[in-house]
Amino acid sequence: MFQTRLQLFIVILIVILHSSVANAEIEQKLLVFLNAEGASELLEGNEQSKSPDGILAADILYGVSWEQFHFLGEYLASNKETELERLQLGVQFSENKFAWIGRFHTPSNFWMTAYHHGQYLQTSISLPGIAQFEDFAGIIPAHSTGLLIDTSHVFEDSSGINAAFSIGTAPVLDEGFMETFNILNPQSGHNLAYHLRFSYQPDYFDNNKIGIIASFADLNTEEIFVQNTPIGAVEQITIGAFVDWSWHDWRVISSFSHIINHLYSNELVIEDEFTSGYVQAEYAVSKDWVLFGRVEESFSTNNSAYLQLIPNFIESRQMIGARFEFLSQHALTFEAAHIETLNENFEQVRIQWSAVFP
Amino acid sequence: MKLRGVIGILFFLLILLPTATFAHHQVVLVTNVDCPVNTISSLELRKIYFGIQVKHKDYLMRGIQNQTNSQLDRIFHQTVVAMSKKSYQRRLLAQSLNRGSPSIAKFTDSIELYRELVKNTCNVTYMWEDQVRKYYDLKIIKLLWQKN
Repeated sequence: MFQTRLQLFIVILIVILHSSVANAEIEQKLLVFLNAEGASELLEGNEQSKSPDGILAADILYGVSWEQFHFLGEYLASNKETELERLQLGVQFSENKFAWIGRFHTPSNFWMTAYHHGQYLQTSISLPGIAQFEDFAGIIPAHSTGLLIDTSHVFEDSSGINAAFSIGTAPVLDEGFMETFNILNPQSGHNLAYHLRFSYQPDYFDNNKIGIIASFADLNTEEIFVQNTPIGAVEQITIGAFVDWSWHDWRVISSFSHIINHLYSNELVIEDEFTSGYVQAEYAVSKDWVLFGRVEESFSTNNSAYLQLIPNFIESRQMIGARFEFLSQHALTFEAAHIETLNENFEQVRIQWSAVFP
Repeated sequence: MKLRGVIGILFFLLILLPTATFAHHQVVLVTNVDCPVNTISSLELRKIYFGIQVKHKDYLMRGIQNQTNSQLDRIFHQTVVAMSKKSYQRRLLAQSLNRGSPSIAKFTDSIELYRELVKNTCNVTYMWEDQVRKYYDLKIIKLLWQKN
């Protein structure tokens, strides 16, 4: 009850702030991302399809800048969940160097730092399995609460580099999913996680980039078992690379990570490691139409003890889709996919309307 | 006779109209005369219009989009940010989503544009060179485009 009231208070505070701040030196930004989605799934080897599912969601982003100080809040409200996704206070040291404290998206999750919860900005409806949020069978932390340093440098020839590093809370592993540190309902039991991203852009003002990502997370656990063995903690190391490259009407987005897990029980340490990633290709047929497809694959996941803890993780997906943009900042997107998880294989069809206001 | 005279004058004005439309030969970057900046590099200009803080002698330079004329808008996308209008909008949107950064202000009304321009000492915008003469408190700091 307290948590709901606190969340409501923050939303009201944001609305009041936005309407009352009239000082010319204070700049602010309010963005509302809306999306409505329908999905249908057909299990492999089963003539019966699952009940169609629907999502209605609003992602509200509010930012304030006053001289070198910045505030950023992102709140997601949907028929599935309501969550304060980001709450950051930042200081800008120079042209493009920021230090933030609060809850943020982990810099080692490339997809997340590119799109956050702004559905309209991403071409596809779905997120790759490796980039998924913690409560939707994500296997790598996507949120952390602590300190984030984000710095860029633009060279004279317009090329640029970006480095981001964070130290903050790691999620707690629960049965089937990870639970992030909730800034509105702080609880102990969260250990530390470190995340790093480094990228190079041949033209800083363009979208093309290539980079490396790495992380270390000390994941505490909530009474979970692997083959009847209680797991007390999981240490996770990831190292990977990403690329986002456009060429004429084509665009390729790809990221692969190698994930090493040490699962600690009272008596033994279970080790496993595997690689997972995706390649998404997009082709702009016209100004308003984009055709796209994504292949996700995981390697060496057989008998992975870690994945047994999150069995709904999407190990493999082959997806195609089309997106149509209309009016100003509205899009209709269609996706069809074959998906494989540890437990089941199924076909999925999704359709979505997304937009951003103002 | 009077009607013929009026028609004659209107016809003469009509002939002159295209000349007036194509009288703009240069697009220039302007700021307030009080701003200590007298020139700016292309890289700094791009930074300003991509929402990166550029400071000169403690004065923050803020870019304003002049959308009072479609040809000006086209020249801005071609010569300053070097990308399509749609790509530029998406880039700014992604930046706002990432850091909560405010958007680049844009105006379709020239009076409102002027008011915003003079609000801060080093605000910058672009306009036709021959329009700058109308404003005694503005100065040119860069030539952005020239008709061949």
